[in-house]
Formats: sequence, structure tokens, C-alpha cells
Amino acid sequence: MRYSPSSRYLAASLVLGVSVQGLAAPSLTVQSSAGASSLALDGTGSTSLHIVKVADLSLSTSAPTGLTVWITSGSLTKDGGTSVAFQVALVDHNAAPPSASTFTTASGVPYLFATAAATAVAKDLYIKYMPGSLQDPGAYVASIDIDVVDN
Amino acid sequence: MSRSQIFKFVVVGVLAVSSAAVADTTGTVTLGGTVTSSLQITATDTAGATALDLSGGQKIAKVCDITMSTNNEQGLTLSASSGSLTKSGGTSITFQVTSVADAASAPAAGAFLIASGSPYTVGTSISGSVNRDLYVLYTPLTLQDPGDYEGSIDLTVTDN
Repeated sequence: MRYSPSSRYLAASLVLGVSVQGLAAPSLTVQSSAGASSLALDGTGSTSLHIVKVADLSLSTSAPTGLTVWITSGSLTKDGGTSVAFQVALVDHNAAPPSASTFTTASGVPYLFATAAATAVAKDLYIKYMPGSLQDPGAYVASIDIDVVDN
Repeated sequence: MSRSQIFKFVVVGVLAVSSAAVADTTGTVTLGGTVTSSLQITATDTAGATALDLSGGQKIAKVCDITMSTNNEQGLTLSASSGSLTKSGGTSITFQVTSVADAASAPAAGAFLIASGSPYTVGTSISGSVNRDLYVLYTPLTLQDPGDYEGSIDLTVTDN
């Protein structure tokens, strides 16, 4: 069979496209914990430090250079109330909750976790926060954005 | 394949590889929690509240120690009713109310700005606790029908 030059160009492009889609595409599954939307916020005269699991994460990639996951942090907010800052940290799935000192990334700064090779890993996402002893009554909300990319 | 065709092949290939390399996946965890109101008031009647001097002439008497607290960051408002000391068959004795900071000197007559029958209010603008002393101003007649006179003050505290 004889192809014209233009036909060969088209065939090569299509084959290359299929091949690229099969390369490392990272995968992220997030399962929020039941307690994530009903956090204890104290605020009625006393307060304490809280470390709470908020999600199960499943991360995978077939990229030989691994993946990096970015996790945001910030504050629980309410109109007219003082915000409650929180930090985030990951531990291995079903590991013990992290200690307070494990939260080394400041609130507002993205938390990073990376692998150096193709991987499939399960992690538990925790937050650390401490409300004010007198916290304005009402509902406080926040969100954590998670972004995984191949290295 | 001509040189121009080879160039096109390379360009298309590079674009396809670049597109796949930046593929990413995102997720979101929604956080939430609720703080309940801690608003409360405690009122302790003074001993003199039930033994008011009803002899003729203007009187100012402390009748209550009030402790209030809230976690509302806009503070709270206390409302105190006023009215009359009454006795069946006797002329009622109207009274006005005001408050001062805890353990402060008794207010002068001119500090009672709210007419009897209208609610007196005092507020705060931040969360926390506050103590107030509640006073009444009243003026029995020189000749007041003998017997027991009674009145009441309703205290209500609300978050601002």
C-alpha cells in the first residue's frame, strides 16, 4: 500500500496521540470524613487545640518521576466573627493522628507531599485548629482544595 | 516525507506530549462547624429590694446585682422593665430604673432618663462578661396607704 506524504503525516499524528494518553495521568480520590462538616468550635468560654481527620485520600500515578499533591489551608470563617485558622497535614492511611508539632506548614501556605516514583498510596488528611474561647455564635465554613500533578 | 512535513510532525507530537504532562486531578474537602450562643444572665436581688423605704420623698435604692455574658462579638443588650409598686386600695408608686458599673457609686436622680413604664436598656459591643448594679428611683407620697406594696422588674438579655 502506498501512502501520500500527507496521509503518512496524519497516521503518525493519530498514533502519537493515543500513545500520549496512556502516559502517567495522576489520580486523586477524596472521601470527606463525617466530622469534617461538624467540627467542634468551642467558643462558649473555653477552648482547646483540635486535631481532626477530615478526609481519606487515594493518590496514584504511573509516572516514573512520581507525583506531587498540593493541599491548601486557610480559615473557617463567618460574617461578623473572628476567623479560625487551620493547618493541614497528611499521615499514612489509618496511622495515628499527627501530633501538633507535625503541622509544620503555616495556615495559608500550600502543604506539599511528593513521591519520587510511580505509586499508589492512601493518606489521611488532618487539620489542626484552635478556636477562640469566646467565638461568635453561628456557622463557620471553609474548604480545602487538593491538586495532584505528575512530577 | 518532505522537510516541511517532518517539521509539522514534530510540532504536533510536542504539543500532544506537553498537554498530557500537565494533566492533573483536583478535589475539595468542605469544612464546617457551629458555635452555640453562650448568652446568659444572672440576677441576684439585694436584701433591700424587698424592704424598700416607702416613707414620703424621693428614694434611690439598689435592688439587684446583674452578671451577664456572651460570646457574641457584637456584644449584648440588657432590657429592664419598670412600672409601679402597687397595693390594692392604695396609690401606686411609680419607679424608674437605671444601672451602674459593678460596685460604682449610686446614680443621681438625673441618671434615671427612662420614664416609668418604658424599658431601660444598656448594652455592650464586644463579647465577654459584664457586671451591673440595678437601681430604682421612686417617690412615695407623704401619706401613702398603709400595707404591702409590690412591683417587679423583668430582665431580658439578647445578643446584638
